[in-house]
Amino acid sequence: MHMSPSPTISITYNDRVVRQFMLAAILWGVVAMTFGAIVAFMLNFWQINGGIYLFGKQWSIEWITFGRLRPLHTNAAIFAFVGNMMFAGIYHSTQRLVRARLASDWLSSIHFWGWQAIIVAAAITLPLGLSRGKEYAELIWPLNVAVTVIWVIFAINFFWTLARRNEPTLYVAIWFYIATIITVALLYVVNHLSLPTSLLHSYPVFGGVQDALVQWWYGHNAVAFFLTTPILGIMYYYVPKAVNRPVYSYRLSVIHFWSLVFIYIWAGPHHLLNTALPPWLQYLGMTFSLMLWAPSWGGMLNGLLTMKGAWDRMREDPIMKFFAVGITAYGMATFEGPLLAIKSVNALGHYTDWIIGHVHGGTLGWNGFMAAGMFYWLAPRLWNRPLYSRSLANFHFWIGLVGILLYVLAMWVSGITQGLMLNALNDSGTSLAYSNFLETLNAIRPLMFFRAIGGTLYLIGFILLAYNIYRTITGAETVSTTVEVPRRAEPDQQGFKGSLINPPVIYTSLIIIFACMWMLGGGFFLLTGLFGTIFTVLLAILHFQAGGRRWSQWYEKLLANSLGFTVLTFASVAIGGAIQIIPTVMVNRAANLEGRIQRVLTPLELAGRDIYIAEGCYNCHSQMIRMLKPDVMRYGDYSRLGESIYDYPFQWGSRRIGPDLAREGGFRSNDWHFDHFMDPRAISSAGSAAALPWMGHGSNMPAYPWLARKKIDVDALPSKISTLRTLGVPFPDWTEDEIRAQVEAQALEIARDLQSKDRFLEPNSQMTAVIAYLQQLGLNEEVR
Amino acid sequence: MGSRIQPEEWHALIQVLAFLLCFLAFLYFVIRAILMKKDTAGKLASMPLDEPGDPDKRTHPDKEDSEPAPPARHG
Repeated sequence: MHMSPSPTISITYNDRVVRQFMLAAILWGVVAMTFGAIVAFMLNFWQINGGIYLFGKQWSIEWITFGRLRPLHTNAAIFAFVGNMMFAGIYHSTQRLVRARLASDWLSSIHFWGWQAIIVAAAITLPLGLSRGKEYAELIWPLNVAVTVIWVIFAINFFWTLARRNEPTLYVAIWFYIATIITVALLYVVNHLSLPTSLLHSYPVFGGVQDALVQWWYGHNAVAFFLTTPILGIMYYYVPKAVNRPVYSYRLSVIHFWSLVFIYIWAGPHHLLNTALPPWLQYLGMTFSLMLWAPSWGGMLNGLLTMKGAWDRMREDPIMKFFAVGITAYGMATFEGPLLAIKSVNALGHYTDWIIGHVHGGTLGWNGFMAAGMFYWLAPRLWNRPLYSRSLANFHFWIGLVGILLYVLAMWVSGITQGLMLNALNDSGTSLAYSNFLETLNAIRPLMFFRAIGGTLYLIGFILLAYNIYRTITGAETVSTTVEVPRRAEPDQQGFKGSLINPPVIYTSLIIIFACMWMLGGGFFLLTGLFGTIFTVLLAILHFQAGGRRWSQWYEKLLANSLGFTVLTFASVAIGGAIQIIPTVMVNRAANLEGRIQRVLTPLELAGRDIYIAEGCYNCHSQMIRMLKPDVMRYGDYSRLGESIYDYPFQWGSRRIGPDLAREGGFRSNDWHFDHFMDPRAISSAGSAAALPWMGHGSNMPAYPWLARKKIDVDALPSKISTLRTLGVPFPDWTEDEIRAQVEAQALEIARDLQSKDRFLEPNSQMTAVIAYLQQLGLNEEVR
Repeated sequence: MGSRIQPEEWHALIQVLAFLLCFLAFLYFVIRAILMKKDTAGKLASMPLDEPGDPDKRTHPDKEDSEPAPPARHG
């Protein structure tokens, strides 16, 4: 006897993995913020930077320098804290929005444990100095492979869940999750393309200006599609849930989504303004960054106005407080970002603490507070027990808010102060007003200290959250919700072909092609383009009038079709990435070297550069003299594109906690560098005393005495040189013996020079290599 | 300041193409959003609130202050 299937099915959501990701996010959040506070205090107190000052003596510990721990902080904050929080929110909300349990418990489990294993591996490798030397992309290549595998598992789990869903329509939050998964995969894979030289080391396939562009295409869009879009999706789900009101304007959310996805991907070059990046790319990044303000504020207003009518609950409800301030912080950061992307503003703010203030306004305010709101909302529901203490949650909010304000205000003042001082000229405009870099450092010392205090207050608040959640869930019974949902009758109907081979797409593509021919062509192409555009537009209008409903049906089907939607999202971001990156990869190098090309490093200098990268020197020192008068007056001739063309990875840097080093070569003697590495404050102590004497004055760089003890890994050099030759660096075809002989000869020369000045350094020490590397910075060959 | 990079001729197309693409896409989605039916928009906006078996419909009041702490297990 044939039985028709039940119209409803019973589903039990997989909330176990949600709980796991949530608790992991809290744990790693405490870790990430603790390291953030530590590295912040390091910049004020050299005694804890690279060592501990005990019993009247500085004990050096190479694993705890700012250069090695700052990447640990950034990776922990982005991938461990926000990553786990994002996965918790995505898995929790997606199951409920699509009315289906996660497709695979097994994949969910691998996703969770795999991600935690990567985090632990990062926590071990980064302090050991195992780094690719690219910001937010420091992890060594085996971990890159692991991240890619786990991300693919996440994607399969997510899209499989969508394919099995019982709710046909894809809510806007799901769109944001799709955009996140697709774009992060694209960004991560491209920026992590590398050639390994050993199990623990690799070189990126891009170098010089190409690497700069790829790195900041990735870096900015990591902010966009890892720190923004998934949290926007979380906003569009949890804010309505928390205030029990629908989204203020769904139409606005549609515009918000597509505008964001299209525009964000172009904004990366704003990290490279006034550098050797081609000007057309700089203006592209600047223009699109300014355009980005509109959709970002559209989203902010949509989120805040969703809470309209529930503001009275703000007084008592900590969740609403966190969401309201979090969304406001998103708006502030997305106003400040475009502002900083204006070239003239960027000339002041780039390389200063203003950028740090901007970043942390976003991460502490938007990411941190949205996470807190989500955790406080989720915990009672996942553990079937009321929140332990609402008062404590409210107190967390206030101490966190004070922490954010102190942090951001301190960094704004610090950044603008440092920018103004570094750019200041005397009355006649012929010399720098503050020629000693240390004068600017001394001026901002109190502000850096207040920043550290602000960050510590924020950390205390987050620890209170951890305690509150701990007390809530201890002894509580976990809950996984079971619901009855209508069974979905029909599967996705619109495949790949249906999504793309249809009148709207065909007409749009033809109009774009003809319009380009019309505007950019001449003669026959111009006429063809003109008449083709007019004809196609008229035809589209007639076709629309005849069958308009079918066009809207295509769009309505798209909203219910995850494959087609995913393809369109991928196309949106891929177009932006390709248009930026392909021209730079294909650029005629000979015509763009500006008369200079980087001198190929000697084997010893190459070893020194890799130590420079491993120690994280690029976290404090830039190697890019901008086309700005104060930069040129302070550091020398502005940097040409050709002068860094063989740097794999590029070393332009993004911060000047210390001075730029692009023309450091030959500027100071070998013994100066030796003394500076052994005790920076003995060498760089000039400048006026700080406002608070106990803060000290002079360099805040850590000492590097271990570089004098540790030996150069000469055996690794043949593989490294061979890899770089594959990437296009014109190293001669040296044998291993020739490489070793060159290293020994050059190192001996440096050691003898030091010995003549009563400094004793083993020729095969790492410090010899780094001195050799620094002494060639700025050396180049003239080309016609 | 001397010569800088000489853009190749085809670079000039890129900014125009980029802006054109983005403008057309934006225009399309604005029109689509404006033409979206009110009841469709309303239904979509309420999706998070229309969950079957929403646990918020059960009684889980947030408490003003903590319950009396359980007896300490250690000291």
